[in-house]
Amino acid sequence: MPGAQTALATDKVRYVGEWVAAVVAETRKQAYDALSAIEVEYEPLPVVTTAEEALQPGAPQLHESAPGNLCAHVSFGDRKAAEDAIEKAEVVVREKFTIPRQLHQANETRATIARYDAATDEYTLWTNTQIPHGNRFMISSLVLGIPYNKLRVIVPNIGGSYGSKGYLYQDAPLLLVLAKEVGRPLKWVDNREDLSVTTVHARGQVQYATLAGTRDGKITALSVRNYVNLGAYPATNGPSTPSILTGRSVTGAYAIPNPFYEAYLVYANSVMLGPARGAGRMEAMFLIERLVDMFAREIGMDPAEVRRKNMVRPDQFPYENRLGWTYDSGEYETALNRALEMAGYSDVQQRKTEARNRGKLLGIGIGSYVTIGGVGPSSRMGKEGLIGSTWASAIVRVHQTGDVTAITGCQPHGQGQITTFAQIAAHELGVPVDRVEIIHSDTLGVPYAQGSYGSRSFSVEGAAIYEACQLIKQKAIQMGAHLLGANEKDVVYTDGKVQLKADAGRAKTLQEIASALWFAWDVPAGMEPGLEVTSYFDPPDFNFPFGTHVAVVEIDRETGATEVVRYIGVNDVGFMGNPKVVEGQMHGSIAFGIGPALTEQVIYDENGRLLTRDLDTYPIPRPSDMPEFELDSTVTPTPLNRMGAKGAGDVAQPAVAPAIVNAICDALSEFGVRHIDIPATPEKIWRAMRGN
Amino acid sequence: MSAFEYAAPESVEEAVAVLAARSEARPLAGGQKILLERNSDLSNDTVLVDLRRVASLKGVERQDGALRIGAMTTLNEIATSGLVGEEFPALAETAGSIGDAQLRNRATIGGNLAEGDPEYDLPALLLALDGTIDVAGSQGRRKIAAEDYFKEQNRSPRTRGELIVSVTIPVTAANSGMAYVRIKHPARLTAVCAVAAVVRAERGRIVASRVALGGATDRPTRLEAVEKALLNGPANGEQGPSEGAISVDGIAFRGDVFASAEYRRHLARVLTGRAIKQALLRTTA
Repeated sequence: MPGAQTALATDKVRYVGEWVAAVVAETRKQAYDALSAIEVEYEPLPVVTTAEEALQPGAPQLHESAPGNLCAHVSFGDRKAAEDAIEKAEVVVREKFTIPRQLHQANETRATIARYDAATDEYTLWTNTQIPHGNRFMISSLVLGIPYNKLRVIVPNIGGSYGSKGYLYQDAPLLLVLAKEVGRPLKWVDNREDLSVTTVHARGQVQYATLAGTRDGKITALSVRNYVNLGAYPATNGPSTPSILTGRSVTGAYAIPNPFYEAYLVYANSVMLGPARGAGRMEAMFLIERLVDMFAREIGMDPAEVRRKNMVRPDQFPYENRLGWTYDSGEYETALNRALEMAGYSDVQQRKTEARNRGKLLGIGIGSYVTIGGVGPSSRMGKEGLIGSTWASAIVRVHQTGDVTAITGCQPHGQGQITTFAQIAAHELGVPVDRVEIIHSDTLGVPYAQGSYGSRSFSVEGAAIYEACQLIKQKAIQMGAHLLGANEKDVVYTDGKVQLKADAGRAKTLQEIASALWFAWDVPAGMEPGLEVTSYFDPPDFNFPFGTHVAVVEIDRETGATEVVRYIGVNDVGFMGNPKVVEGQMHGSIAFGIGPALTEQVIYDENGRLLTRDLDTYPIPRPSDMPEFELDSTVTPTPLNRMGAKGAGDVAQPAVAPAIVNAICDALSEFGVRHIDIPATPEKIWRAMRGN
Repeated sequence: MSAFEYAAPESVEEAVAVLAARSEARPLAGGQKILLERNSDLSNDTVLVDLRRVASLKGVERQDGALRIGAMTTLNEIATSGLVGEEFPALAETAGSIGDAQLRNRATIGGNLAEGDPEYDLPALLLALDGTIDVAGSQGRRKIAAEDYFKEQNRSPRTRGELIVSVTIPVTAANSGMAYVRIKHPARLTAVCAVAAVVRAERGRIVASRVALGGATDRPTRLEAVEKALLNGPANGEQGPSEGAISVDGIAFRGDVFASAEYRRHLARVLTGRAIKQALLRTTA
């Protein structure tokens, strides 16, 4: 990748916050005193902080290896077909959408401990990454050149990540080198203020979008040109978010005959860009859902009706969206109708009048979504130019006591996999859930695995546990039949035991079978001792959860202050292993969407200095900023795994900002307000009402 | 990074003695500001003078037609004080809506007022309530009118070694009403713009008012032009003040990335109208 970063800057510093030196000390005070003793002389260089400016001729150049500051230009779809359709269209709506950058604010900042053992030449790294095996591979093979087998990566319980810890950051290799150098274990813990420059930012797109359609509400074409500031360097998988995740997703829930998307991925003097919950898809859903509302207003049609007219119909699956995604299954209109019913969409006029009497402008907005989850089929990674694979791994072991150990390749950081994965094994094997333990996040003992991101864990890594359990049952049936002196055909596995079909009273429990396989005094010819299975699962394709959210807002007509007074979400993630866990994920996703919709934004000054470095200047929403979430779900199983499960972790977040901004624009329709960029702050709304 | 010294005196006299003796001594009340400052802002000579053991600095009491509120009284204690609720409902409500519950259990009225930070809520309110800030120093005790205390931006008139011991607020006359309205900053929860109003009505007319602006300017500011325009006007809470009575001319507003000066000016007008209207609705006349 052109423009790759070194652990410490050598010749040039390319963004405020880039590391130039490291200090090792025995106490905090020593460390800070030593840091303040270092004097760095910087020779000022010209600065460019936006993608569009960085592409201009004569712009400051960040890397010799990236002429014109261009990391990559990507395009999907048929440009010519889209242009022709737009040319011929009865109705065309165009808008520029500026999606600001968002800061990650996980409860826990990043942190790393490194140890080197001179006696064995072994390195151990404790760090809060979403990809322990990825870090092991990259550090050993690509950065430090140490033997893979000499590096162990352990991820303890971590306090959230949301995409912020899915990389290899400089601190890990740096600490390993220094730990060897000083012969002591070393610890680095980031702080809240530095996090804003040490940890990837997210979003940050400038989209020029055009949607074309007919007077009777049919969308015929969509064309998007996107400018993305990747920051000064490419983060491990930073560029894929605005290219693939946004680019292939911009058709949303709709069957659009002529879509086209292109993006310029550009280096500029700012912190590196990476994904955050709803990565790429939020930017895509914001664009399409805003355009659909603008189109509806343009032709004087109810925005819900325009959605119904254009949504992919159940008989169209599998549906190829012409930008590279194949939607697996869905009942998009059912979810839309359910959400509208819950929101009382039909009597909104009456509530608008009632609010007006209180000096408030009430608006209602829809955010429908189809967002990729279940990352993913490994063959696609190669086709997308991503150096990696995304299959799942699981080891399921039934001990002689009947206890079950499941070792998973996922990396739980708050999504509840320890519960839901234990439920999969307990349910499939018919054992109590408290007899199942889940092992994860340690490269010693866990087979190579991909970690957790992209709403992949339950429907991909969970599916591997499901498949491993089926193999366990197969062997248990063979062994159980042997112990019962019966033919395999005459027994069945049910409720944690193998029993005779003809006589339920004659059975061997899973514990008895596992115990017999552990002793192995008498096993069928050719059968191995033990009851353990390793299973790898590579899904045939991504899965596509969907749903519709509805926001109701009230705006103070004098101050522009906005309150989300109701929030309704109908989500479909296929089969839910644990509906409560899914509901929790939905709550998190909605909260994570309200922030960028109303308050959160990264602001740089013209010299590349970050003006929003701490929680005094960067407002994340509080529970008191949120209404009670009114949630429901529909269940459309995916054919892509045998559980029928789709991703759930971050798939609904993209619905939030468009639902809220659509509601705001609805509330402000009498002022002729067409669009308000996020975050829709009170001042922006006040200005919009005044016509500036 | 610095170490600092720590002192925990048990009387006002002791505290004043430490504060007077050491130029780097700083009083520590609820710690909601000083403990959040960066380490680099405290030098190695800093002495934090923790006031929580000084019992006389706590509590609310009646005193000659006024309430005296000890400087170390927490915002939560003020919010739940029967005396404060009875005499100065706007103060009780405001104290109960600053920050969050954890903050209100630590932050004190003295700390909120000490530096006249315009983003904090109590300075403008104290200005409208015509209160005094009572200080003790090695030269004795004195009362500083809120008006004088907040005169200069970021500079309190306390001299070295002087400590805020209490706040005294005269009980408002009968037929008065008071209100405090504000727009909060979404991150800090402090005031982007706030207006405090105290009005007194007699026979359907406004006979006295004090209106003060917070949040939007570099120091809490009395809106004297508004007060003048209100005088003898109709005390009609349903209608609120006339548009013409609300003037923020000649006031320099501050702007930042969240709210421009222009927007704050607009908010000041809107909130002034609302605060007066609400105060009028609360008059008993």
